[in-house]
Amino acid sequence: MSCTCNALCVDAGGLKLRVPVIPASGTWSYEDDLWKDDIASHVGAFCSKAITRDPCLGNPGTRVWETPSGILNSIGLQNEGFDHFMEHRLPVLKKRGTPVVLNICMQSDGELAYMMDKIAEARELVDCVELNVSCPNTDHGCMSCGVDPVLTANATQIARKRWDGPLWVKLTPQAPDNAAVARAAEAAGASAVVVANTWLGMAIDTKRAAPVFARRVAGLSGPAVFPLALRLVWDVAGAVKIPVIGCGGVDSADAALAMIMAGATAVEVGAALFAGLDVLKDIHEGLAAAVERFGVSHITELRGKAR
Amino acid sequence: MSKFARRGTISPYRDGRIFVSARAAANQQGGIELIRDYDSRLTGKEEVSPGIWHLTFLCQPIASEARPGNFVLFKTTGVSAPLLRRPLGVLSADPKRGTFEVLFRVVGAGTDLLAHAVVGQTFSARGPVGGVFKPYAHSRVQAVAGTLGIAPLLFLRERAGAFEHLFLGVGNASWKSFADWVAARAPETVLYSDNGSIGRKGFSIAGLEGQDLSGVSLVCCGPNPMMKALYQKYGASCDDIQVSLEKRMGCGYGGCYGCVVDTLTGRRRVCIDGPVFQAREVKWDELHL
Repeated sequence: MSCTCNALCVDAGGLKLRVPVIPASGTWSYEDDLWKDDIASHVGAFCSKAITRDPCLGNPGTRVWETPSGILNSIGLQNEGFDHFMEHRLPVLKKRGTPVVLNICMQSDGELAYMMDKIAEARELVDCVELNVSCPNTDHGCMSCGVDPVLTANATQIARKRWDGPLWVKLTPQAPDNAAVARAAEAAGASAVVVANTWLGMAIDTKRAAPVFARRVAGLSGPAVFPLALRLVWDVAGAVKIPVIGCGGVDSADAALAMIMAGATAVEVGAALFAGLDVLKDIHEGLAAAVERFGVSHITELRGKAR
Repeated sequence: MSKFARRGTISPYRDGRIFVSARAAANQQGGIELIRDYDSRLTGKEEVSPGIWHLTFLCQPIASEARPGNFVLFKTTGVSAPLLRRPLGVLSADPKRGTFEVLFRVVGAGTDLLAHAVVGQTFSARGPVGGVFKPYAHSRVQAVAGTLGIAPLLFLRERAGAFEHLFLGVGNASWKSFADWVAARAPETVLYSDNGSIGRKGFSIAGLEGQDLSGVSLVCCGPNPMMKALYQKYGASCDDIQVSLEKRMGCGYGGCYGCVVDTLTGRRRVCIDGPVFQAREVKWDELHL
């Protein structure tokens, strides 16, 4: 759906984004510094760090490890818990004026139902929910759900039954058939899918002759995964009618444009922020320039253009 | 060259007058400098000893806002590898000249790129990041450093005055020019080396042996095992030990939770909640060394 407010404004599954660029979950801080206009004016929304029902300590030991053009992380969902977020964080974040996407991660149906009930009660505070069925960094985590279309549909239904607002489902590249999982999410009521979370990888510390991470495995992101993510976006965009949010290795306006030309409605940016905060401005301005360069009036006219 | 506080100067640090976090100070003054990526131009370069570099950068926002304990994250290349920034503690900052200085050892690809930079080259520097050293609890202050851990302590000294002693530990005599460089800036330096080939034999924390530390503040920066050893040995007799911790970092702005340490108040981020902690707050047995 195009929009007349500006050439980059999009509707991402019911969430209107002034700019189709969002800092991805787990890569942004709640520090006030980072929500000032010189940054906020270049994004359509901010995504929260993953929120779990109960407070979560996250994983012990080494949590990040640099790889060629990438980063492995094993944070393990450290957060203060859902109730704390809703009571103390969200009201503050909302005051800053930029839409907030709540990344919700659950270990059981009951936890998800609890959180979605509360979210529905706080309707005026919540702009959008990103259902995280894809975190690779916990033992009882949600990725086991995201690899399976039936389980993903079940989680999506639980959320949709309680919440009629924008509902994104963040998929995992570990799923054997991402198109099938995306279709299942769509059929169960998802209003968009985010493609995708991190790729499962590992690292070995050869000085210690031991795995770097306490859980051995970790999630790979950064420019290294961009071609992999782009291919998934292409596949999923061809399989569903709901919007696709491209996520994975986007580090430039050109990469964002490639995602959009593959069929994405918007992009999430993660590891590239670690390398440079200006990437948001660069993508925003680069997409605006692309609209002009192609002689179109709106970014949506470039969506799927490479297909 | 930075100005050095004279030994014995009564320091505003000791009554806390200059203690405010960089951003809080900026906010109070109305001019807000934030954690941002600033262009920093290399204006001076010195190889202190083989593989150890002292660089000076021109960057007014960081020079104005940096406080002792803060660090800066450098993007060492314009391409995607190395992807992550390299955190380096601020060694000195001169708000009037708009410069800040760092001191580092080449340990990998990122620091190697910085070491090969040419004067006039511009790097993206994120900062100033991190919490600061707090006002000392006592009027007597001893400092303990392990090799490159000296950097933030020299910045603290620049702003807060000389230490009673600065115990510096190095590996062996190959560190002589580095040790001389430090001693030229801090005459109160007492040198230790692991094998005794230069200075006194032993680790730098041995400098505190036999001292009554009840009225002493300790500041410490070095390898985490050294700081753990210091706390285990002197934690019971000294009630003000500030340590600056090191941890692998992802974002450096508090977003990724990649650099946490276990403390009495939970898992806290070295980048934003630290890097300076009271030693008694750190759960040393949980610290991944």
